[in-house]
Amino acid sequence: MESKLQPSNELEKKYEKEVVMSPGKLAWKRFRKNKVAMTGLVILTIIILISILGPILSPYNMAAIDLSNTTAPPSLSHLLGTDASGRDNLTRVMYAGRISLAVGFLSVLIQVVIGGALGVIAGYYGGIIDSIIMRLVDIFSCLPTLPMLMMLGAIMLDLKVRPENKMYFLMLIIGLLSWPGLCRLIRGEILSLREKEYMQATEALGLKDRRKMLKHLLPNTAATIIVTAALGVGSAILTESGLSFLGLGVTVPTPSWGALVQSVDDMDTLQNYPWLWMPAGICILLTVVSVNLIGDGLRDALDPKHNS
Amino acid sequence: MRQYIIRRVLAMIPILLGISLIIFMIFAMAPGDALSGVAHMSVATKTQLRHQMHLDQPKIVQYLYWLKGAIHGDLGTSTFYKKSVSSVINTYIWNSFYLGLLSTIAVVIIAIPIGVVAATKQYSMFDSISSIFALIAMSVPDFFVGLLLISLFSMDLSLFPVSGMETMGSNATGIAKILDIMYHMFLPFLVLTITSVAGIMKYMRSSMLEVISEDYIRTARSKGLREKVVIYKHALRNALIPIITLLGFTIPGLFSGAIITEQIFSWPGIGPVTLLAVLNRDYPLCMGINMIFAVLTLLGNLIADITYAVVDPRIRLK
Repeated sequence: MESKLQPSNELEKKYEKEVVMSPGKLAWKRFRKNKVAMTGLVILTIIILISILGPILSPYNMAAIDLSNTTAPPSLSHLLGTDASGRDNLTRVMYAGRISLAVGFLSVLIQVVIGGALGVIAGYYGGIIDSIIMRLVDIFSCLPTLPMLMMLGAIMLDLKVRPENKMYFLMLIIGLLSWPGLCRLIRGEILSLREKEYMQATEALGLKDRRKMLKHLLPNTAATIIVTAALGVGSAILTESGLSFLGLGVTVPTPSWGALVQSVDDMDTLQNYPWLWMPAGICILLTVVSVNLIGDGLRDALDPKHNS
Repeated sequence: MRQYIIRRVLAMIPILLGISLIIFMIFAMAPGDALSGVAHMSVATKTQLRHQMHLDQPKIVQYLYWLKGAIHGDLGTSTFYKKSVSSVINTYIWNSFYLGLLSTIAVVIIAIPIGVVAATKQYSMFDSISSIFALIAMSVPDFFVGLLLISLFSMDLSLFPVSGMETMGSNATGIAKILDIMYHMFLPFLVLTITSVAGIMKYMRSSMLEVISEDYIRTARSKGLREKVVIYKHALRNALIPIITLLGFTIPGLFSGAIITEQIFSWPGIGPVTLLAVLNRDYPLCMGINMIFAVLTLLGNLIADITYAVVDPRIRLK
């Protein structure tokens, strides 16, 4: 199987860098065969590229107000029309994409770091450390996510967090509330990995605990981490957009996709100015769909047993 | 079994304490208190009120006061509604419950048959279409569905009302009143059903697929049983076990699952109340709502575990 592998495009190199093992290569090969998942990857890549490059290439400034040309319908000069202050809507949607995507990916990073670290520690040490961490997991997984986030969002307003820093605060709170699921999964895997022969070998070699956890246990949970993270990005983007829609997340003048949909505060806008709210909603939908497709594809690719 | 339930209920207590402590600590982060936003009140009155409400004490002492009240069933007084927290929650949470319950019933009725058919006809046209629908329904933000439905059904077609629970000024009673409520409920119900049907559908499909590949299904087929009997008698009953457990986990969602949807449609449930409590820094009410949700989550987990043991005798509760 492996001899047939051909060195291919840069995406593969990127992937190799992350998982420098032949199982990674095999998984990528399986992933590439999965047309649906590849479609997701292509859509997501396009959305990310447009969000990063779009605002740079756009002739309009995200915040430039043009009161002579407000709520203009889509035209050649403004592909998605203009908003109530005459700002170019396409530029704002692209800029909002940067923020929504950044919140999605980075909050998952926080979730993975906390959930992964605590999961490995709990599973490896067991005993009292395990009990303490698992009670913490119990507590955090019973916290009602949305009401808690709403409260934290309101506190963010009270603390007068600067609009441009709000996204970092959001990443942090979404990440801090979503790690218990991953922690539980990792702990479960570590509990069974711990009993494997190669762990006895590391014991015999007298390796330090840290090395055992980081080099021998953690890499073996990579599949779980990658799949959970991929699916987590979608739900983090949905959470952020919901929060911003309620006015408790990213707020004006910084746009995020959820905040752009929130610009529909009256029935008139809803009915007569669909270009003000539809594009951002469709962007959320497309992004989350492609992220979920990639997540499902990764699950099939990383777990050959699952792929029946 | 009884011993198991008692032990589980007792184990909830430290978890609830931890949750309440975390929520309280979050309030401690916030600047100001329930009175700092109130205008038209002299400093002296405020000081007196603060003393009365223990707001001048350290946060941890405030927490202990709250805890003492909560143990006695007193969640404090809402500063926004000027009523006791439990009565505010009691007034609104049932509207959320009716909405959640109807939508969950619809979800079960729709999701289970579709999941079963999708699994028995894997890779068929039906399977692909339902998978695509599930994917989109899982990925679409609820507020976007809500706005789309409003713009389609309320604006373009003028079929359904946009907001509220009853027609303004209507004094209909009995069946007419119920019909009026149902009429107002339709759009939020549709949003909730669309956004939550996909999860159970996917779960049912994969559970069914797993069961169909079991040895005893092959045995049933080799006995010469009809395919219908194999699928609906032998496979379905076992495939439903994880779904029943999953329904236990939806119990908290019956009450708290629709905050954004209720907000969009001004449905007088707990969702808009939560938002008002948050926006007005009504900390006692926020605290009460969060604690109720946490208790419901814990109860949901417990019920899920118990039903699992009841429907699957192989599971033994220790």
